[in-house]
Amino acid sequence: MAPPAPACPSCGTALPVAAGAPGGSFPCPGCGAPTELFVFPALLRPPANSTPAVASLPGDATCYHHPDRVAVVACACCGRFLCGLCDLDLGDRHVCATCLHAEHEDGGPAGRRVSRFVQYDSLALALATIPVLTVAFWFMSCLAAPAAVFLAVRFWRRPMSLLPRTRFRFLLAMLIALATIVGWIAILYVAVDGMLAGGTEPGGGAR
Amino acid sequence: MTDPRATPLRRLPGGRRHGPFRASCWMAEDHLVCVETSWFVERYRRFAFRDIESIVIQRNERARVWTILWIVFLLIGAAMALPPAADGTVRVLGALLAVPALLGLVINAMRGPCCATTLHTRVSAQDARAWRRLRTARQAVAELAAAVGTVQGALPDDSLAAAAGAGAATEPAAVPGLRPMPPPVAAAPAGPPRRRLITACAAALLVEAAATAMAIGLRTAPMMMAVLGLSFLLFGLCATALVRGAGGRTTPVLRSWTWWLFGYLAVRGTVAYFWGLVRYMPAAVTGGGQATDWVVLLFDTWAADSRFLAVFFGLVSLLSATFGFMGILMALRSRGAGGGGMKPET
Repeated sequence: MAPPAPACPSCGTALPVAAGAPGGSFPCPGCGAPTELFVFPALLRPPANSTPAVASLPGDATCYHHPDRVAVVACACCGRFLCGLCDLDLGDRHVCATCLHAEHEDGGPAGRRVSRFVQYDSLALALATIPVLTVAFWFMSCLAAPAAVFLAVRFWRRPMSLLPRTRFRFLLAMLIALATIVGWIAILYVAVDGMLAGGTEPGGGAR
Repeated sequence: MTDPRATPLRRLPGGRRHGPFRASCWMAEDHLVCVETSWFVERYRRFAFRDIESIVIQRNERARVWTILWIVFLLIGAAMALPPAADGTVRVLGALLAVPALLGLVINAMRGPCCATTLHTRVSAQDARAWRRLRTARQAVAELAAAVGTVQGALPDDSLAAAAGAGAATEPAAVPGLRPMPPPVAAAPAGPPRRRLITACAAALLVEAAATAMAIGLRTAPMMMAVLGLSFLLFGLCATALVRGAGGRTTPVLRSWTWWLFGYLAVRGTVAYFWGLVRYMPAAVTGGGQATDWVVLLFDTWAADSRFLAVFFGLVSLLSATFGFMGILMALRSRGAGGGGMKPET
């Protein structure tokens, strides 16, 4: 079977593998768009697990999860025998799905490869700044500012990204949020003070 | 939790920022990390060097579409700001439109043509969103290819031709009682290009028609401004769909009625704008005459006492015509490239 050819991103037509000379451009056979193709030896490599799980015979070591399949490797973590289907090849070792999931939960070597981070620092900065900058939603800053401070304190030590990142956003969010909170306190103080002063004026009070 | 940032990463050329969305690619010792940030969540896709089979860079018309859009906005802004009879408000709005458009035009020209870059492995085809400009994509792919070459080795000279002409390879021996492994599922093709813009432009037309009807009925300046602003917002969305559609990122939707809508959009916009140009613009430039003859001609009921509103409405019609014609052109080319529904390969 010929190796699977890469497809054109526009029309889906299979691109000619033989045209994979670096730096060369050719029109797509389907849509004619100028295309450059870079091919690597992995394209010509047969699939790693091309041999399916094999049925077991009497006397064979069998898979822990599939008693009718021959075991081909033992899990590096729990030692259980695994067939070709259950084997998870991590490059330097073989594990079963249960151990991989457990490692992922514990943050072990297999779990080190996280797939996403929630950036609480950006969220805190947005909560602190957007209500203040948008005239229409300034009144929401009385809730957003404390929320920004909470996020900054709660997630201060948590990693925010796989990439280099400082805590500048958290600091800025806290500064803006605290200033907003002080502003709200001042507004409330002036309002209450005004109400009280208006209620104690001679001739004032309810009409 | 073990610090996931223990692996040192080196950033590859390229990167993209589009509102709350950011994309970049980084290289570790033995794998590539594609980072995409959407609002407040950062996601990673890793590709081991040993697994990368091929990289496809395909030039597209996204940069050209951006150039057209920037020129349109620049001309509109200039038309609003430059006439001697234009009042202060119109001049300011025109400048606010023209200056960013000019900057965008220059930056777009400096960055060069656009492309779509796809990384292929045995089981996936990943669109590298960070590499959307041809120049930076080539630089990044050259660095990546060098790193992949150190892991996979060099490709023998005749191997590609031999592989392309290879017949059926030896199949694995059939095992009684077991089904053979299914072949890897090929990534679904991207589908015919430029179809999302058809849908988005049609939606913009419908809402613009509704907005016009509302403007006729409301007859108060603030509400008319609001509905016309809504039209502009929709045209902005339409422009986004246009650009994305030109880049090949579309949904497989093509409805025959959009042809009629595009035709109406183009004809209506053209007639409204050029009629206004003929009947109204000379008066607007010289400072005299009525501002609403062309609107009355079209709708027969509405009369605006604001020159600014009439100019604004005329420019909206110009955008209608622009998008209408561009949509028709794109739809024609899309149909020529093999239109139809998208089905995953089996």
